Amino acid sequence: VPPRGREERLDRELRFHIDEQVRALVARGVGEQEARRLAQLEFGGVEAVKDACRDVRADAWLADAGRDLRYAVRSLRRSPGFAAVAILTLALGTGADTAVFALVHRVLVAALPVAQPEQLFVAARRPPEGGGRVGWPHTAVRELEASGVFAGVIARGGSERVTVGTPAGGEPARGELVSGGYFEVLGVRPHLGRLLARSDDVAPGAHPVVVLSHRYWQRRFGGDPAVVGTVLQLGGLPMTVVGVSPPGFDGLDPGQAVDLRVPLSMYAQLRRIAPRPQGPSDLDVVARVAPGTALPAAEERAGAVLRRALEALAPSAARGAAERVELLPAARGFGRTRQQLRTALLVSLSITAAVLLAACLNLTNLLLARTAARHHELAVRRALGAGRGRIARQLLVESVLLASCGGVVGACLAAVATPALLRFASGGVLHLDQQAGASAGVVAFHVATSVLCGLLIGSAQIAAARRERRASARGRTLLVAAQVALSVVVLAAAGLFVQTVRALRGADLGFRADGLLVMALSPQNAGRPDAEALPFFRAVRERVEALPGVEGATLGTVRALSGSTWRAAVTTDGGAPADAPPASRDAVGPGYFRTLGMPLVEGRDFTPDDVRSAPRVAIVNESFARFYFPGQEVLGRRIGVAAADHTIVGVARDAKYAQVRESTPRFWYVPYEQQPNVKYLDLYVRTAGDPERLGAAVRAAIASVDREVALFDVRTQRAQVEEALLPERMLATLAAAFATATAGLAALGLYGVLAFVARQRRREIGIRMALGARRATVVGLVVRDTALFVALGLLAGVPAAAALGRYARGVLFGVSPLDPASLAGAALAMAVVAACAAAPPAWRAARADPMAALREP
Amino acid sequence: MAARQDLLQGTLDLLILKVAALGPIHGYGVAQRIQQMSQDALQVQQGSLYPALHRLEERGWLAAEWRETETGREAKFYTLTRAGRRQLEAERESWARLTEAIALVLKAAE
Repeated sequence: VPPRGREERLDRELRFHIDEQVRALVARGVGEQEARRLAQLEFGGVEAVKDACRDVRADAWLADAGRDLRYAVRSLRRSPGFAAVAILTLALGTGADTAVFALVHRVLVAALPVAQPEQLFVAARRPPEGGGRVGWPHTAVRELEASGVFAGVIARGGSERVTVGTPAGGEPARGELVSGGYFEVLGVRPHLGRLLARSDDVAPGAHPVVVLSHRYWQRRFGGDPAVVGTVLQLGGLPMTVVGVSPPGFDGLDPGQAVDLRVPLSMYAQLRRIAPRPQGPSDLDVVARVAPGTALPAAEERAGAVLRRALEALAPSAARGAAERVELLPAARGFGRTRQQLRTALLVSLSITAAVLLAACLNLTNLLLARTAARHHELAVRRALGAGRGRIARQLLVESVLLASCGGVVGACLAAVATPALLRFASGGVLHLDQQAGASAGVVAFHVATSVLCGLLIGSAQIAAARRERRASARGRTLLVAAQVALSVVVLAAAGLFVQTVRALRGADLGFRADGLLVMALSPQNAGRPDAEALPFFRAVRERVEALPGVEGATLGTVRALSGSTWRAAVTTDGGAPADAPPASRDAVGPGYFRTLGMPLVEGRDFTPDDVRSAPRVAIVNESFARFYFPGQEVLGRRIGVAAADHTIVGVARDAKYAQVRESTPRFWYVPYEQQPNVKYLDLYVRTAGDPERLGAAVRAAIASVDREVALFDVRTQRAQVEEALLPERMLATLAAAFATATAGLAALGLYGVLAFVARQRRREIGIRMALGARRATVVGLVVRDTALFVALGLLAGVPAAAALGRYARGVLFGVSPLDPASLAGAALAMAVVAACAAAPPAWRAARADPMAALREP
Repeated sequence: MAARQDLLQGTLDLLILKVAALGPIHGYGVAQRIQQMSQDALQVQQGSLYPALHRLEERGWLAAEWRETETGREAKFYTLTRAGRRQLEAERESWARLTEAIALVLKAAE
């Protein structure tokens, strides 16, 4: 039985030698034992010999690899044009792929920059009746913390608008209320000073301290370390800056920038509300689960703590009885940022994968042409005794060398493109850290794709080198067809996404978004008492409306097309239909419909006379009127939340409210003056000109009323719509850019193959022309080849494009995934590209001199 | 035992190729053959022999296979390949040139 394995073979070979030596000695009359001793002695160290043999193998491998590499470098240097095109193609492919992957990684994959993020879980309340997110009351969080179920428990409120008082007036900032153990449980260390501690979160209202985010500290204070220990006026409340959190730390919802973090104990002061026994009750809870803890058991125990806490708050209510707690992984944080961009990002990534594949196919194609041209060289090497394995290795080394060079250039491209892409993807909505360096995951991805490309094109080349010339020409036909197919997919996708953006932009919003400037205001947020709110808003509206160039000014509670809605139950004088779902509503100011350009079908707009003391009025949209008062007179009917206490004075045309994609909800409006508790309102300013130009004048007008009031989220209504379209815009732009690149690569590949085939058939063409074929016939030969490529490519590409369209259905709007215009457009574009690529070879073939072609060897 | 003669590396390769040219042979056989053919003047160290055999096999000049010896034991037999035969010729020539050149120098020095 021949020995298996290199080591065993080596051992047996040497053992055989010693045994033979022993036999020889025994034959000479030496005793068996003595013979073995002598043989061993003579042989010397068996292990040393083994080592020397092993070294031979390693040396040979290294020497061969070095020789292959040197040879590859030399052969590429001989054709610098080819090398440049190949490296650039790969650089584009891998660079684009990595840049998009870096974005995907940043938004979808990267874990929070905190200690052991994998131990973090969102403790989500799951009421028996189901429904969306339910916040935790602060008392329940404290009990969960004390229960010891988890290694750590933290809580936070949502993002809060905070007015920072400065000598120049109020400035807007974003704040977050967090529990005292927030930073400690997350394992985040201060960049400067100290972070919040449990001792900052004990007695309600007694801990006026604040921690700045690194970004805010840089932006607002120019990174001045002296800011620690100073006092900031937050909404008129003096609070001491105790420290700065580290750069890159963005809290639990990366993408939502937070400037200031304040202990939960200060919630009533920060939010300007009366304190309640249970504290804030809208908290998100995140738990650190010790390794090895069984999640179901922890969920059970946390649920018991929650139920006890809920019963203590409202002993009579039985609703807490069946409530459960579910633990959801929070290593990557939570929040809407990810969900918003998810589909768009994954589709983008598939598109870049298609581009990379196209780049590989193109390169394979180029290399095959080269292999065919090197046929002679390879044949000589084989004759000189180079085995198939050696030649294959040589080709592989060459491909991997090319891929590595391409990868290095691609890395440079990605390094430039990634920040630009992040900036583009943030689009003023997300706050992705653009300075973030390349993470290990992204680098690994880049290296892996580059090497994979090398192996892919290398193996295609090896397969081609084994066959003969003709077979490689057929392989190239398939490659070009595949490139055409990929191009059709990417072109069709680009068509779908561009049409989606156009449809979204062109959608009838039901009001005029152009010429409208919006900003949010709150006098209470700047520390003013509730009583001053209504006079403040009245004065602001009047002064802004009086500005030259302003056609109208009004106020509203829910910003149009910002994605937020306010739902309320509906009671009508006729009795609402049974099981009526709640309707959307808004509390707005005088002239709202005129200012937004939302036509009234019947009745009147709100006026400055619709004040608290006046009769309560409401305006409904057409869908509302149709649903609650089908076929009836609407004006004069009465509606309300709990009681039908508002009289309908107008019916507005249906419009888009929360987002462009929504189907029209039933909507009703009331005057904000007739609402209790007015705190925040959005000011809408209508102008005939450019709304951006009005900014300074509007600011001054508001400052003339109260300079301490900060303006939050100032933007044009058009920009507000564009922000909402961010994922779609990103997809459309990327897809269009990548479609151009893929089509360009396909054109290059097509041209290469056609030129190659035309040259190979020169003799045939010469004979045909000598026999009287007309130039048109010759051109027809080339055209037929082209048509074949394109037809094959379309055959595969169109169904694939349709499949991608179906996958991306969620992102599409106003266009079918099987949109004939996109598919036909892509096919047509490819046909044009192919015609352009085919023209030069066809022209050359037609002009060929038949005699010269025939005389060639 | 005869005085040991150290062998230049290239020389050992040449001798191994030469011995293998006579027919398939295992490592022990190579050592024995070289000793016999040099009338005990040359004794090959195992520490050089086996790495050399492996190197020649790695270069593709020797091919190896396992087969039975006359005594019925499994041993690794080396055979000269076509490339090995060419190499043997080349090395034989360069050896001849070298010895001739050295002889000339030595004669002139006398």
